[in-house]
Amino acid sequence: MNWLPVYLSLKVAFYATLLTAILGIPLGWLLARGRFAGSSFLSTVVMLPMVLPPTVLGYYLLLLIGRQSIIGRWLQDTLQINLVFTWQGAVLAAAIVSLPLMVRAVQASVENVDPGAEDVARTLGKSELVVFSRITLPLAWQGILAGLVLAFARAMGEFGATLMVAGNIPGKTQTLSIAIYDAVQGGNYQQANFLVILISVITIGSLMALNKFSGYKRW
Amino acid sequence: MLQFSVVKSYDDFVLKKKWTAGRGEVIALFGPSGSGKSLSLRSIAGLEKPDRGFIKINNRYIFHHDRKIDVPVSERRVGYVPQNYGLFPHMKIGENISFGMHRISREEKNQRVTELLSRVGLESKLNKYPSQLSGGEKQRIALLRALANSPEVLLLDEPFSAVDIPVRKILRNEIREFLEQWAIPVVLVTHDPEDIDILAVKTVHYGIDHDPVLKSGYPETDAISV
Repeated sequence: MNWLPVYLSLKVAFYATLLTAILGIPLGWLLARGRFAGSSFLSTVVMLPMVLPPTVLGYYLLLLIGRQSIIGRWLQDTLQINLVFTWQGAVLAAAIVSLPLMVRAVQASVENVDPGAEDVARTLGKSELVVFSRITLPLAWQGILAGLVLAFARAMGEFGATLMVAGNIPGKTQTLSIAIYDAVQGGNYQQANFLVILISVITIGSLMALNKFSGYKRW
Repeated sequence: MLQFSVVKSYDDFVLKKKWTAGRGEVIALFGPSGSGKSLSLRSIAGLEKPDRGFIKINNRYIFHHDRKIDVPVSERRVGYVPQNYGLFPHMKIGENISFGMHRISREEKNQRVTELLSRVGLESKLNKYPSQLSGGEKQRIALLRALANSPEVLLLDEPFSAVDIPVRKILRNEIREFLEQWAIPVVLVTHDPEDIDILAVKTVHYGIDHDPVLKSGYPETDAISV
């Protein structure tokens, strides 16, 4: 059995979830609490990866970070970073695809936090950062956790955008779902079955863990 | 002493009010919903920014449009009890009350919390969560929390709207006795005339004002200054 795609997928999903959290938590909070012009536009843009075909997303991403683009050339020339056909590129693709799930979950759970409690904390002399970290975040953490699990599961199974950006290089960018496709194409059903069962177990396991956690309340 | 003289427009509605509350005085802002009562309260707390006018606590302007004074919420020293009390559901009662206490030791905090709780006879609730309290108990805790920092003004937004009518009667009298111990201006938002009869010293009537003149041009601040 070839375990490399499993290891690679776990690595890509881990970093993609991290990136999604860094972007998604502030974005979800902003969409739930911010009163600013353009919030509905922002909401639309953030949700786009949910409805666009992953291949289209991957193509956009290629245009953005490929050597022909300004950003891609700058990354290459100034920072010596090349994202195309690398596992870091796969992280980027998976993160973008998972972002809407994270933002949605955070937005919904922040909207559920009593704004009165946040206002009281402000009048009690607390800064916005303290209000967020001691009131909003602890009260919204279940939704945020749900977002993280969904983002991880989505990143784990990412196929289309990853294939466009990172390609199918065994041992380098060949993630689980791509390896499954590759194995089936090559008639290697033993490897395909192994990977299919594994990804099913991981995904079902994480969703079950999520269900167990989401009923938990200390107060 | 709290002086309030504010103009604020909200969609097609204009709030234009001027009133004063003295030390130990309970002033009721009375009127139908949508007449800007809560907006006034939130302006004093610093949660909304008026378009014009000023708000002054004792000798300190916390907002003055023309002098460009707008003290941040966290520095206004106001006690605020929102409509549904805004208790922190994930913190025990003791933590709720001590949340706003700054720069004092843990022992001092605990001592102060116990002392406050004993004033309302709720010492036994120290380690309970808000969800384990009755409506009236929640209200008393919210009051204690607002007063724990020795604020210069106390703001109460519809304090009895979340409790049953029989409980309201008891709570009103309780609150009145309790507030008499604190010599600060209290602003009470209500649409219940009974609240006024029992609690308020002064009443300011709020109405829904759709004055087209006000909409097209705001009066000069001088025109409404005290």
